[in-house]
Amino acid sequence: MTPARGGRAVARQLIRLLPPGFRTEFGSEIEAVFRDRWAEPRGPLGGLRHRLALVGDLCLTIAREHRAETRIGARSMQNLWLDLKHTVRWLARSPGFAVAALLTLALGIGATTAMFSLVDGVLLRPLPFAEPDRLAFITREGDVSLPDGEDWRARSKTFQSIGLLARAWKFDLTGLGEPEPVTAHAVEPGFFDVLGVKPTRGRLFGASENQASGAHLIVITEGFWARRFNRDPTAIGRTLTLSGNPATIIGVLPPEADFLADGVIGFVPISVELPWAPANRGTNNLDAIGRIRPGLPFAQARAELTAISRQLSTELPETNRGKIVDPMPMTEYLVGRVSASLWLVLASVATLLAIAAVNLAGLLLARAAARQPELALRTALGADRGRLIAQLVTEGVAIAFAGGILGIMAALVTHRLLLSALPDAVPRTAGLAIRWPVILFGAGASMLVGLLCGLIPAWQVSRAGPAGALGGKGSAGASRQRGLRTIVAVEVALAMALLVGAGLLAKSFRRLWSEPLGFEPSGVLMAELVLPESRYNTRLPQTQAFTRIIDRLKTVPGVREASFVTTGPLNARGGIGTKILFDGRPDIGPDQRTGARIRFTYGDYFATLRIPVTNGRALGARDDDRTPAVAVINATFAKAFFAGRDPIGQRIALKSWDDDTKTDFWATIVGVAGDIKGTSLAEGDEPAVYIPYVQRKIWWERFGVLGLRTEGDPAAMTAALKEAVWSVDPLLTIDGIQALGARRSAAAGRERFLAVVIGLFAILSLALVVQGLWSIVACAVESRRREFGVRMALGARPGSVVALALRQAALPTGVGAVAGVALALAVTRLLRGMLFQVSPTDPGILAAAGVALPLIALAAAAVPAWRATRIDPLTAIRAE
Amino acid sequence: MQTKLPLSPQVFHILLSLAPGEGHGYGIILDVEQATDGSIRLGPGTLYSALKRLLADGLVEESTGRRPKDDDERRRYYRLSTAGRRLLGAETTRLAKAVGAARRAGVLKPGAA
Repeated sequence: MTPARGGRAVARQLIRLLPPGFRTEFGSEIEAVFRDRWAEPRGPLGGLRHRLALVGDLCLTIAREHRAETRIGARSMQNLWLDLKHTVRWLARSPGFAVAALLTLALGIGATTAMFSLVDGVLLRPLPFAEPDRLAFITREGDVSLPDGEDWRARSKTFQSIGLLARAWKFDLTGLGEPEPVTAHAVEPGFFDVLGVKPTRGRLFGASENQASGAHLIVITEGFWARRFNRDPTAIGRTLTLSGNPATIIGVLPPEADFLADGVIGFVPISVELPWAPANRGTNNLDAIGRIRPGLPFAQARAELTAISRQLSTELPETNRGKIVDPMPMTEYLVGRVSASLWLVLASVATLLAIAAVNLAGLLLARAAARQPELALRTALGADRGRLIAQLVTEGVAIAFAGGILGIMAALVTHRLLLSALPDAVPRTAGLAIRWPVILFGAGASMLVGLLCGLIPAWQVSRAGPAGALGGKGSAGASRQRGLRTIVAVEVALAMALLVGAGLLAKSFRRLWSEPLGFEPSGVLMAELVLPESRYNTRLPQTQAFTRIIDRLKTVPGVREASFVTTGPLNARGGIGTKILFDGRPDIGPDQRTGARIRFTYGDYFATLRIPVTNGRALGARDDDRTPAVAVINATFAKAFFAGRDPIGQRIALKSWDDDTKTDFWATIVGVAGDIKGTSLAEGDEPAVYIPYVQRKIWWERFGVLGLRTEGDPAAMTAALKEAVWSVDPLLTIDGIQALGARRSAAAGRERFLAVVIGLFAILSLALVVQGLWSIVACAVESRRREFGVRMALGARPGSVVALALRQAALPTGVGAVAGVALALAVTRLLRGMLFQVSPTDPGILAAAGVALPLIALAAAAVPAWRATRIDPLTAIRAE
Repeated sequence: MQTKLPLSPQVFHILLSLAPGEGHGYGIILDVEQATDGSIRLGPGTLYSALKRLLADGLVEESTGRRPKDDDERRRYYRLSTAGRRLLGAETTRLAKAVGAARRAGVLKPGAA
């Protein structure tokens, strides 16, 4: 159906509900204007809002004109009051129905409102900066250097300011109670200009203070100021010890300055803290943000900076080959990864709400049928059809509003709970509060549901006409049955789409979860350690610290294996990487893809994680700084660079990785280890080289991960791990203590969350469908009691009677199922980016849902159908 | 007559839109939306509810005059009656007085708006 035709159909049906006088006078005019307005081109979201407003306007006009027809306001208020009282009394008479209806709606509206609060807070809420549309995130994952930024600033005409940062740089905070591992953004002063943030107290640092030999300074965040200084104004001017250096606090920045939500304690001048960075073009671990000049389109700035980085790539191939940046709108960078998921969950929960509303409309319709005699009587006594319609609408709206209030309250109460249930990867949830648009949304959703619930029965009554209302068994009965059947078909179709979506996501999660990891996560505890640069700036103390800690941990009872590695598994950042040279092959330029991840280990890392060594031997205690340098490569490396040949005994080098002379670090391959999931569950391993930590030549490698394979619950070894570390150096800070199993769970967090949440919605929608079918069949059986009774009396087989009763349900279920599969095929395409090794049109899932849903629905409907066989013919006939 | 001063903003703008000459429903909606920078968006139902009352009160009358050749035959055109024009004038005077008072009270800077 084209939008224009859809609009006309909606308008026609609604206009029928207008009071006759007004309708005759203005109906066709309203329809024409409605059509013109409906067809106005607007964006997808704006268009939806525009059209909803049009429908809302007509609904309000229906109410207004009916009220006007019954004359004076006081009278209509009185009527409304009567209708409300009538509704309450009626609900009180059937408390079971009332509670079920209210809870269903409260659940639907509450869940939809809660999800919208997330969409609003994470996706729609503007960034807390001036003109956030002009902000760009230039890099992705720390891949440029300070000199690159200098060149961009010199050449760009579209960017007003650009600021580079070393994101969440690690420091040890000592001298303020317990030593604590903290992070701070090491930034250029331009960073503050880009965001336009102002200190709430004190000042920021300027270019003159961002010098390699400058004094250590820090602008702290408000959170840290509150946590550590209890908002004491005299904190400014005091000194923090950051990784052994005294840094003066010069100011306090508001919370939005940490818009990346890294939990940093503050901002430090990058050239002071990373003195090597200004002159080092090849380091490439910085990020960059920028503010575009006013009035320029984003695409232009994006294209310009990409072109500049391309120029640099040609001019400076040694360091910049392939270093092409692609600036992205800041909001998109922050929330782009989750926006599809959040919209998906909102759409699913709205579908569930639609099913609940349609279901309730069906119940009200059935009730309206049951009240046929009452309505007929009232008509006979002079109530006009408008009053009846008004009453039915009042009932729907009243129930929906009561449910809506309950639902919105539930959403408010469970808000914190919802936030804590989200996977960690969802950004911008810190301090997320429910804003008034969310409440409005909830109220709007309730209104819509109420009108839907009220208007569907009212529409039926208006179709039936007075004869139907009086006749009770005539055309009204048939029309009502048709209405119920449509409702069931719609419910089944919507539920089918949800079920297919849930099935796909569940299958995707199962695939992801059963991906071979290449290591055994259970029983392993991991912890991150960074040795402070001030005391560990040379190789020897670094080696001593880590080897002593590991040797000590090996003696702890309950520890089977202990080892050290610079980058553990499932680390999204990937770890250290470098270019590899091969003995006997020419070094073929910087763009030759011969890069690899370097993982330095101490202790038997392969045994700790149970990574199989398939060829040759593992690294061990015998490889120390007096024996020749050795390396173990992973299977991907072997396949990529030694295809078909035995790599054992071959020599490779890490390019320019000897500290003093910048010569290459040569090592002999002694083994091949299996691949592991290095960065995520979905991606395979990159080429990787394992090298004994004690044999390294570089000085800057002073961080890493401790791994323990324990006998019992790994979490129980936390205290022992801390004790072992602190027995070597009591000032060391330990971060990220976590069982490897928990890390694996977190890595599948989004997929698990979606599978569980959408699965839950699908189950709820199934329950609603079952309930809906149950009532329609029960209703059909009830209205044909006499016929069934006679059939039974004449000796019909129970099976054939059940089949007859079921036919009521079978047709709409079938139609709904087919429509639902078509709907699912149309919408699951949107899931493509979220599915792991599952096609959005996975035939297994489609077939399973397509068969299971109708079967479950019909099985549920069979219960009331079976009751048809129990009708006593005598009572049935006598009752007439 | 039920329509009294002060006029509701919607009624005021509907009358205002008909002040230069005759107009039809869709045109009124677009006029009002433009004149108020989109802050008043009349739905078709609301518009015709209001027109019904204005017609009943004799403030607006249906126009049978000339209309553009290529226009939709079924479209109905409306124009201000003398009473309607007088009421619109009275409302505008009332608003102007209010603005004057606000300006004297220093709420509105001279020259603004």
